[in-house]
Amino acid sequence: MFFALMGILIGLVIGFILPFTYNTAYSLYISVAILACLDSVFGGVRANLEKNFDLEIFISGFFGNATLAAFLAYLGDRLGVPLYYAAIFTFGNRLFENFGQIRRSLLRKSKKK
Amino acid sequence: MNREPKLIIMIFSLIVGIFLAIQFKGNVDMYVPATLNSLQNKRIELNIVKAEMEGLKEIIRENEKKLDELKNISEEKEILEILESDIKKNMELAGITNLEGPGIIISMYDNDEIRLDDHNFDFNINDDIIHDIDILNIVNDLRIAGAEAISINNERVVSTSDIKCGGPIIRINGRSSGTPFIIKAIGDPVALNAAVNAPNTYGDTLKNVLNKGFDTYTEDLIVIPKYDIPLNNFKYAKPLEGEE
Amino acid sequence: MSDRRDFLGMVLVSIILGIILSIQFKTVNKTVGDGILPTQRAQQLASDLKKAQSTRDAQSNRIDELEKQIEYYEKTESEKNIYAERLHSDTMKYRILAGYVDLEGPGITLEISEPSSEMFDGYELIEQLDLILQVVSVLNAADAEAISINEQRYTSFTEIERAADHIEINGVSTNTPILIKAIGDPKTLEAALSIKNGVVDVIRLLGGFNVQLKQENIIKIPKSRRLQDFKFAEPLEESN
Repeated sequence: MFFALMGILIGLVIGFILPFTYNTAYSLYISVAILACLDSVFGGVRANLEKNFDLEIFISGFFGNATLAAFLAYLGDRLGVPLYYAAIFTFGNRLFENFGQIRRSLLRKSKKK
Repeated sequence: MNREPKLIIMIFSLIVGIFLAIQFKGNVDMYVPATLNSLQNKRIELNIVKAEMEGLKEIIRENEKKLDELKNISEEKEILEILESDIKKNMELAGITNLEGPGIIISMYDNDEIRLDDHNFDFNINDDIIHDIDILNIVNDLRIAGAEAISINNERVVSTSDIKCGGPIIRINGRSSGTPFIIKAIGDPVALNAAVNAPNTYGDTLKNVLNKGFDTYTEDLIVIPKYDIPLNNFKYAKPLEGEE
Repeated sequence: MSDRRDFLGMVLVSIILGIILSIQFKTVNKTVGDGILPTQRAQQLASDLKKAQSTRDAQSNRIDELEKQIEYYEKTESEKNIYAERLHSDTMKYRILAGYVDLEGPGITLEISEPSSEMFDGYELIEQLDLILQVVSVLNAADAEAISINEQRYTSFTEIERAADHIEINGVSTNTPILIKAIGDPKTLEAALSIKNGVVDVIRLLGGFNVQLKQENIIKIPKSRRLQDFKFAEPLEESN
């Protein structure tokens, strides 16, 4: 939850300061990968709230999904078919699902208090 | 496996944040993966603009040459020469000169088969007659194929020519004309021929599908008369300021 | 033994998949060009197009400039001699007829556009370009003095051609809506176009397009920017 948000914010600041940019052509693929990473983070937060966080699942999901998403986008570009829509729909959907669960967990917790 | 989950999550969110920031910095436009179709269309557009540019370059070159000539006039005679060649060229472009050259002759005429003994009573008299739209389409196709001059029943077709149905006749340049309609065009005979005879062209459809009269002959020498309606001063149109 | 069959089936399907994939890759590469990704290529083409368009506009401006200068020199020179002056003013008439002069005057504008509703099930305008030809003919019959279609001057060489998903007029790419301008007597022009069952009715009712016809006091019609060369036709001296 808040740690995740803080993490993102700090990361944003660092990223702005860092003088890195990469070839804009690839940004299409990287953006889909970022979506997958966000989904992983949300999934991790939700798992943590539900007390079944598993480090291995989290890390493998983070890198695995990101790679697969980027690769799918790249493959789609080479084939002339917008495969990256598949990644967008899937991860976007899961993002909202996870977010919904996070909300419920948080609200339940605050009710219990 | 006992590491504090929150810490792990925070570290990874950090990574995500870094990448996000880098993306933002890149200032990228909205990206949609390019489809092959859009690529091809863009390429076609690009080629068209490039062709325009070439044409414009030619015009610039000619104009610059002309300006040089004008600036270097020393005798009165020279301005007359320039003006006379100017007027000749513009007359040619406007259609006010007789022209000759290779090209094509097309004869369009009504289908005069008697249809009454067909068992098909749905026939429409309109399908047998040459209409103004038929002539308009053929003239357009000839122009696409680079026709440099066109005449219909010896009426030169210029920018102000009308081609209109008027009952049993067709009015061209304000004069009535009847079937058969002899269209002459000067240009590359091969290209002109293809424009009206190749499969799926308007001419081909007229002839083979609608069975209207449509005969074509390519010729080495065709004479096309000038537009002979006297040119009055324009009543409504005035050149823009700075061009008088 | 069915294991073997399954295995063979898988192999076969994989091989077919491989073939299809490689053919697809090759096809995409042919369109996009080697060594470059489609999204990059799209960007490149878009920026090339922009650059080319601005160069072309700059060229147009240069031509205008040059023509103004030429006109200035010709005028001052020809004022020295009556015959020259007459030549000069006659030339202007022919230049106008040929379409090489920007013009302004009263007239009409006619805009044809495809309706935006999905209920439009007729043919697109791009498949009925001869409707535009008919409009031009009607305007000429009503003594229009100059006509332009989407800012392209209508000359005796003007063609209207369909190219892929757009329309080419005078070799310039354009698309719907189509704006036709004509200079002449506004009342006559409008009446000729809107007679019952005339060309506007045909376009509106049979074609299903949106048509807007307006009389205007001042219409500007640009000159043609296409260089016209006579490659086949030669002038024939008059025999009288």
